[in-house]
Amino acid sequence: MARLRPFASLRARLALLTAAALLPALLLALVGYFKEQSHLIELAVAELEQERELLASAHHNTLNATRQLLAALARLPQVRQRAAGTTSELLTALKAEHPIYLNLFANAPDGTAFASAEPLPERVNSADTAWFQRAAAGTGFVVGDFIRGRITGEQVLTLSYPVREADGTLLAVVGASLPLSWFGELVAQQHLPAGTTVTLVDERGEVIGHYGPSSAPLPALVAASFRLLHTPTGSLSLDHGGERWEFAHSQLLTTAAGRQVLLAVGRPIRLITPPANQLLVTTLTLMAVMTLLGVGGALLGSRLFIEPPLQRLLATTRRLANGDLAARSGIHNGPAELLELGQHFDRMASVLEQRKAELRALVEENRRGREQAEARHEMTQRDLEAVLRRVQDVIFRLDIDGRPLWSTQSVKELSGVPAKEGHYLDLCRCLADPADLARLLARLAESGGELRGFEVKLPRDDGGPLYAAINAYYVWDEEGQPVAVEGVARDITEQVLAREQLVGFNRRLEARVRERTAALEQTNAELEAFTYSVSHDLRAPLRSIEGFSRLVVVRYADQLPAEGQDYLQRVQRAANRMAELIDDLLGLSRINRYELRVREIDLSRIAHEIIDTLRAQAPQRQVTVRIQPQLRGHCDPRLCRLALENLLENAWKYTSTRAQAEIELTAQPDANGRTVFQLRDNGVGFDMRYAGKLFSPFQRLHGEEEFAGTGIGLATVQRVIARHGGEIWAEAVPDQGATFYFRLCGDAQAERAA
Amino acid sequence: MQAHPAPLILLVEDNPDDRELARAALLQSQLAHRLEVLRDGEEAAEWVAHYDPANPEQHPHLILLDLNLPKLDGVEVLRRIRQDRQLRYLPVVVLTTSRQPCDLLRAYDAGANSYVAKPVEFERFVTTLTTLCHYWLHLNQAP
Repeated sequence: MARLRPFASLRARLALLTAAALLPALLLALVGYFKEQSHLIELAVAELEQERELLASAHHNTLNATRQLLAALARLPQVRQRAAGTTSELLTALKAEHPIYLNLFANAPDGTAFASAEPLPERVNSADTAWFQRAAAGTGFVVGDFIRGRITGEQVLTLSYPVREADGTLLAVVGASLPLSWFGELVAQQHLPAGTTVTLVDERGEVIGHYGPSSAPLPALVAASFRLLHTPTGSLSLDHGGERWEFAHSQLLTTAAGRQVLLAVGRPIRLITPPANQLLVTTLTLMAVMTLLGVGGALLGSRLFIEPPLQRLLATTRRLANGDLAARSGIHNGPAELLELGQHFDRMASVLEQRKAELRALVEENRRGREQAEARHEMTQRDLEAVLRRVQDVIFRLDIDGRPLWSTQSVKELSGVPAKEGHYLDLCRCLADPADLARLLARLAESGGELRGFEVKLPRDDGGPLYAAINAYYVWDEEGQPVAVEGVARDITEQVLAREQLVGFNRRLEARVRERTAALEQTNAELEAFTYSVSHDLRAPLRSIEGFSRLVVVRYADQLPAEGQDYLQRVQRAANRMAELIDDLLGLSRINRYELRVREIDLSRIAHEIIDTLRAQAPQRQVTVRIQPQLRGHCDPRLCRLALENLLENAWKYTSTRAQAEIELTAQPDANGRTVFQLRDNGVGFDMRYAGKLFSPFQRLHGEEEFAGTGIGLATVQRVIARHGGEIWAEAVPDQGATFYFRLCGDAQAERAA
Repeated sequence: MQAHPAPLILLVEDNPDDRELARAALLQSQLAHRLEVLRDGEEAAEWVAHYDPANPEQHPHLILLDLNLPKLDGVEVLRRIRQDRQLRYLPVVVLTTSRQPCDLLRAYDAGANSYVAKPVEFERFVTTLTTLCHYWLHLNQAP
């Protein structure tokens, strides 16, 4: 087994994964830190700008106040008159009131000071100073320059204001000195946070004043001051001494000498960002602790819950790999996947073990089988001949020309054929007749080498016949050429005898059927003759009866009493009626002998023709006839017309008592889809009790006086319908009408039609 | 002006009743005619055999032939008539009781000009004969 690489073990990877899971949190913390830091810096810059603004505005206010003070002094008469004594007193009093000023003074137009709040050590002439010259030249307030004071030795800003006559003649110049320390006090009053520096610097980089920690980045500020000029108001970051500073600056004033003074308030980043740094440290510490805990937990968890079953599985696998099929992991607890893995593994091991056992058994069995087969083979050789000797059938082999090669022998005992000498005895007997052999070979060749049930008949020694059936087939060589004929001959004497018996039975049965048919035909012929004689011999006397009665009536009318005439007329009527009966009866019997010629018929058309005839015979009658168009049926046209004639004539006849007769022929399919025709009339109808007699010959439901008729009509209809395999039935209510239903074909015909 | 003799009708009928009825019916029809009756097939055959075309008075205009005749039946008589050179085109109406289709076919096969079933009702028989004779004696053109 390969040695595990570092981090290849499940535990190590688990720990790594756990640690990796904390990476996004770390990133998030860092992003949060940088955002917080920049936010703090922004806040600090805003604060610095605010402080700068406060300082600038305080400074501006002071300058304004000074301007007003000087403007007021310029109006005073003692100043205008240059009264040194009173002016000095006034200035002293004013300075006491405004201690921020280092000195207040008044100079004559030549530049010499004639009055001062502070005692002047000597005659001081300020004609060479910028503040004096500008004030003497102009009319307004002048902000001088920061200069080292000649009196105080301190950095001083002198402010001056000219005092002029109404015509503009300069009377004096009043001024006030603001020491730089005043600005320091202003700064101190602001209570700026520790570490904040406030710097005043001119455009040449000369630092005028600086307040705050001594570590302030003065050289850097000097270097940057030129740049500051280009952005009069704004903020700036600077690096100094490995530290980063944030500044807010603005232009404070421009002196009389054209010197521009800038104010910059700054603070090192170190003092701005501590809260963010603190947060980052806390977060990182927490995360470090969490990572340690997570990784530790993962390591511990895997050692406790995953490693033991895994190690077992691993050990078992190694055992199995080394061929120990009895090895089982036996894991009962642990993670579900490992449990399942263990179970599958155990099952696999079991199956392997079982297969191995089976294989061993199979090998064993195979060995034993081979031994048995060898034993059997020995036996087969010995027994085959014995078995074949006992087989009832003869198994044989011929060469392709029909010469016997090999055969079993058996039929002799079973068929009572005495044994004879010779190896091919029975086969020779079976195919003893060369004609049989030739026929067999020919048939075999015809059938493509597979012949079944070839029968031969051979004489038995006891005189009776012996039948054999031979199944034979070609034996093919590798090139597909028949090389021999093999086959089985079977004694089928019993079957053949049984079959012959059956044939005999059949023959006798057929003979009997023929006899019966002949008898039936005889009967039919007799019936025919009878019908013929009825038609002929019965009618002839009737003709005489009718004819001579008529002749008597005609010729001897004057000699015959009325009663006699009536009687003779009755004789005539009876004879006529009998003739009708005979005709109808013959017609009825003819239907059965009539050969059907079935085709599709338009029944509607036939019905219309019949009705037309009926109307022509009785034009005075009021009959409403409704015949559904396109009624079609499969039937013989003549018989169908006959049936319809009888039915419609009936309807016509039995509605004759109606003032408004109605006859209706329609059709609709029944439940089985067969067409059922329906002939309805509103005639006299009949009593349903006698419906059974309706279709029997000579059965009449109405008297002769009421309606003429022979009682053959419906019998004829019924016979026609029956000849078509159909069915007819009727429904009626006395005095309300009758409905005849009929179907032309039975089920079989309906199916054929479909 | 010499009057033409009335047309001769030959009736071959074995039944005396039918002979009498036919005679009565022809009378009642009031057609001008002479009637000669032959009572069976043999008699008819003999008549055919002895027919003399030279004697115009003996020349028949119509034969009414029954089928069911004793000795020699009507179809045979008809056959002989048709075999006779002189009588070949003589109108022969089969007048019989039988309505069997086989009789009908046999009669036409043998050369009948018409086949009429005798009605039972006498008045109809009169009408039938009247129509028949009128047609064959007056309307039809014989060769």
